[in-house]
Amino acid sequence: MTADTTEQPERPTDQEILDHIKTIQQEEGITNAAFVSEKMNFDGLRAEYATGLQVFRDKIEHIASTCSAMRTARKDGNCFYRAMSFRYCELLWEKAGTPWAEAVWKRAEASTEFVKTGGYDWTIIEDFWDVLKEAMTKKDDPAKLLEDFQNGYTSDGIVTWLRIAVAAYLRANREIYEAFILDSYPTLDEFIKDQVDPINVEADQIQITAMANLLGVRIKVANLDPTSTPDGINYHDMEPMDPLPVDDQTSIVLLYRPGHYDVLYPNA
Amino acid sequence: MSAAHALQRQFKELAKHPVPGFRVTLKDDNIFVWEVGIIGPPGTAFEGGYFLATMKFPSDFPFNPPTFNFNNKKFFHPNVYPEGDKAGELCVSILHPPSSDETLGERPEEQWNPARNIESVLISIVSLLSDPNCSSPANVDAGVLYRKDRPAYNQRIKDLVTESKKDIPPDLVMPTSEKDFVMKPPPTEDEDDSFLWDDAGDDDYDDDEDMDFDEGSDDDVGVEDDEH
Repeated sequence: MTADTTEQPERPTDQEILDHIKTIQQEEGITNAAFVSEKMNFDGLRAEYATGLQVFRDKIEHIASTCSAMRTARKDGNCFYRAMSFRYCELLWEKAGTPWAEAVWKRAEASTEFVKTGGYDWTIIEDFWDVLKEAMTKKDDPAKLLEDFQNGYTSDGIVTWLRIAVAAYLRANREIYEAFILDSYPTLDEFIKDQVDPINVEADQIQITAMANLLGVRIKVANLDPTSTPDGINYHDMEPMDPLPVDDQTSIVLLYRPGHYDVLYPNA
Repeated sequence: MSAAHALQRQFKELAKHPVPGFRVTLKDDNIFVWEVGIIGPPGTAFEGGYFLATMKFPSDFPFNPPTFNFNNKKFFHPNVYPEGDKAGELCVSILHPPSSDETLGERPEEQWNPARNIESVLISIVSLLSDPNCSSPANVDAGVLYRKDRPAYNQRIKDLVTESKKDIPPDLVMPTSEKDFVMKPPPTEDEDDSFLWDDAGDDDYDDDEDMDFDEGSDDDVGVEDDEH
């Protein structure tokens, strides 16, 4: 050390901070939790809110009476992308061979075209597209999908692809989306660099709307928040501007609570 | 698809189109451990030096970043740890795993991202050599000296350069001007790359790239050109 210690305030090294973050995540069980869980009932959700506000507990009972199951996604800032993409692939498997599934595939493949123009190095991101394609392709064993999603390369590869595709979609439709972010960011590109590209930064309304438009798939989000509602629980319904050219209105349904998304299975 | 496959593709690309400023080889044929030789940029205190470093990739690459360690554990630089377990390790935001935590004071866009290519990371590292980031130095003494007494700092760097000369590969022609650091256009004719991994489908990409460059001119000398 030189005598010049007054100038450098006491600050942990970057490595100490990074190690600390890792420890916290391990302690909170984040890095050990499944990327996407098995189907489960709502007892876990009930337990989480057992001492919470009545309005939360009422909404959970409403969900429990209108939905058959849920799946949790790992709470690492990628939960929207993981929950959404798991259900997306699962629906493709369930509905393989239907006009809906064929239209979804067509739309997904078309999306690669504008991703190629999005300023990314295609030789690198093509790997991530391959991973999603592989997960979208139905296998004989339905358990294989969940197994695939437990693989880090698959799960993170899909998240990376979807972030890149959403970013490319936002850029390609700048005139629609820029107005929504100008309150908090000077340009859409700044927003994308800060809120879409970095793995681990959570998705918000804009990313979800863009995702629905990108995939052509309706995304419904049950909002578990403390505002009371006469309908039991509010759903945000993100309907694609350019829907798939089929009659089928199949939706991906997610459960939102502040900072987190899971998969929901509404009763038929 | 796997981490190894992704790395092989990038390594192959770098071997095919070397970027001025560094040389990359594999250590013990292990695709997860690269030996990087950084050529001291002309016009900086690092000119004339050849700095060996080891770049290690994690098994979950590209979702987590590689580490970058100078082989010389005493590498004197504000962004290189001077002592302890991490002596010689470069500390730079693009090699930090993405984190929504704001303690580090880094914007997520400055941190590692799986869509980054390694070439761009290496280029950033070369420019960090002569343009250190002193806002959160790994080596506080080096950071202070850099700001307070540049001649003394440059002398420390000169010592590093002298020490590094023994590592210059015999076939490497060291650049003498900044011109030598300019990107060399790719060869107009396809080279025989049969010694590299087979990867059909790459050819389309190369053709596109060729269109983006001007015709290669004779006086545009790459640093690895051994005719000089």
